[in-house]
Amino acid sequence: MTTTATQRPPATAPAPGKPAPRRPRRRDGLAGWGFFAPFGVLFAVFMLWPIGHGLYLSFTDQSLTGSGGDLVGFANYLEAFAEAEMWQSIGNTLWFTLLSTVPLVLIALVMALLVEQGLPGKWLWRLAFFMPYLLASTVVSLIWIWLFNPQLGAINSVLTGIGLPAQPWLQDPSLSMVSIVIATIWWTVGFNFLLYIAAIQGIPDQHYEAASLDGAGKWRQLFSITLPQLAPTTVVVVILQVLASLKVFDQIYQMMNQVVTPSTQSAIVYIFDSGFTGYRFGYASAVSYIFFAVVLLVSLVQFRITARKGS
Amino acid sequence: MRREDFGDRVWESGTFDGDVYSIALDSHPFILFYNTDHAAAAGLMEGDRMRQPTSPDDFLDMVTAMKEASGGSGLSYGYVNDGAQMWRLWYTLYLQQGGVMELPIGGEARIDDEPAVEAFRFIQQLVDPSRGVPNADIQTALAEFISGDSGMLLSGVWELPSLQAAGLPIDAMPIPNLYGTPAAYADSHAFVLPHQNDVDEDARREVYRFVAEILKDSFDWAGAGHVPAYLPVTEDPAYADLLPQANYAAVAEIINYDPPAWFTGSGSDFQSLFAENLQPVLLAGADPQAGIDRFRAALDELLGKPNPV
Repeated sequence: MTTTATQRPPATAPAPGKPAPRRPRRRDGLAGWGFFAPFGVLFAVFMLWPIGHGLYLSFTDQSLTGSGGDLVGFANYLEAFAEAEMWQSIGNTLWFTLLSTVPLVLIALVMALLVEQGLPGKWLWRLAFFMPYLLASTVVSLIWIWLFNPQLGAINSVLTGIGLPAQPWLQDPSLSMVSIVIATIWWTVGFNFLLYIAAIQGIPDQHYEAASLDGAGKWRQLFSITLPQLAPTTVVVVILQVLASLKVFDQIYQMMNQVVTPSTQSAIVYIFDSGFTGYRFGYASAVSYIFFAVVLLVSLVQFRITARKGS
Repeated sequence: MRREDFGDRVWESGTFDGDVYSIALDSHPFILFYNTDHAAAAGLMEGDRMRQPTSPDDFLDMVTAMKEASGGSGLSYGYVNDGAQMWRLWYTLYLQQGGVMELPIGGEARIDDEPAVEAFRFIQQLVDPSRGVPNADIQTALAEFISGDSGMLLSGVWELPSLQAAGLPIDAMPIPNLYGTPAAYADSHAFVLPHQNDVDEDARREVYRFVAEILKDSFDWAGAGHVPAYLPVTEDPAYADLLPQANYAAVAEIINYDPPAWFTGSGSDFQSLFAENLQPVLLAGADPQAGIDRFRAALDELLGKPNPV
């Protein structure tokens, strides 16, 4: 910050023409810190402190009720490593991430390409595809609980209407995770869609013009111009999507009505249950850090792959 | 407020080692609602009340008759993905058979197999398609009952206002005693004054008075279906005219809470564990004994963990 300050145009300097090597720099620094302070305080209180305190708690037997709090070394970590339920919840989270990320990227891309083909009423399509993203997770969960309802739900009505068997969407352990993924796609695909729309609009028209002069058809243009130009956006979308999917909690917690099932318990649900309904803050903190390590690992692998692609 | 102003079970649940730690406002039991029109059509009414079943099989026959009368379901019971709903009915039937459940910290959970399995066999028959809906959640059950497509509803007293608002011809009763031992399941809302490091005697006295006033005026709260814990309210003649509340208020004398342990209670891991291990019994016809064994194993694991409270 301060190094760039000296290179700024004199508009920020107090007295133009005067060299004043030190003073304006310091004032500039103060102003900078002033602007940074509101964010900095929030960041410290709600990010840095919880991160540090959580790490400390993970080495204690702190209870939600206020009792405990003694240092127990690595006991929480050892217990977590030996707990099959924790590994299963992490496995479920990775499975959800895989199941949700692929369609969330592909469907968003296809929708963006279709809308940008110059459909009539383009604004309406954009609005319709993006609107679900604006809903609160509670609203989305309620909508889909009703849609998935085995007796009264619209989805089963449609299925039986066309002669297919009705399904217990959220109740059948082999279907419940897929059902949650479907609801999640409907809810969040709009954000990726928006990123793709912006990227498509950023591709210069001259490229298409030149290509059509060279005799390239629509498909040729799609594969030789549009998709390659969208590659950097795809990298961003995939990174954001994987991180968002790994954090899955709301819709599982709400759509399963807090009931933990072996096929839908995500890592965050496990952490929440350990800490808030099981009262074991210390243990829950330890699991958080184990999960953090898993997320870090996934991210590193991902950066590795995208970096190789980029080069 | 005196000890004798409260029922035994409600009062005792607020004490520990003889000291009072909480004052209950109410108890809200799990009960049986029924549609009086359908019950009359099914020939189940005796006077202005539904008759009591004489045995578990007789109750099943009553439900079957209700199904014919309503044209929809005989009985609505929503339990899917809902540990509380499942636990409340099962525990009622388990206790009616004299079943005992104990959760000693550091020890092993006691669940009596015979009544545990029998209760599940009975509920399986209740949700059989010949009587009810085999895979309903609570919203489905409520929707079915409120739209008049069902003869009975198993749920908590707190549903009463929405059932009344729907203009249904309903009445309610405690869950019939099918197995001999009078028992019902309930929770209570209670007032607790948290520990104070620095006690202001005057403020504390005012708080006690405030709580006492709320309990004395809890007749209005009874309108929402809950059974007031303060006996002078339910013994007042005005309460006898409050229907259907007065028809199930006696249940307060036979209520049971969750077995005491740090992980039990409404919205707890305990009820969620119950659902996790035993939902397949009702939903997919899985073996009740195997489900009970898994539930017991999960409880033993929790009992073996350090008590975080």
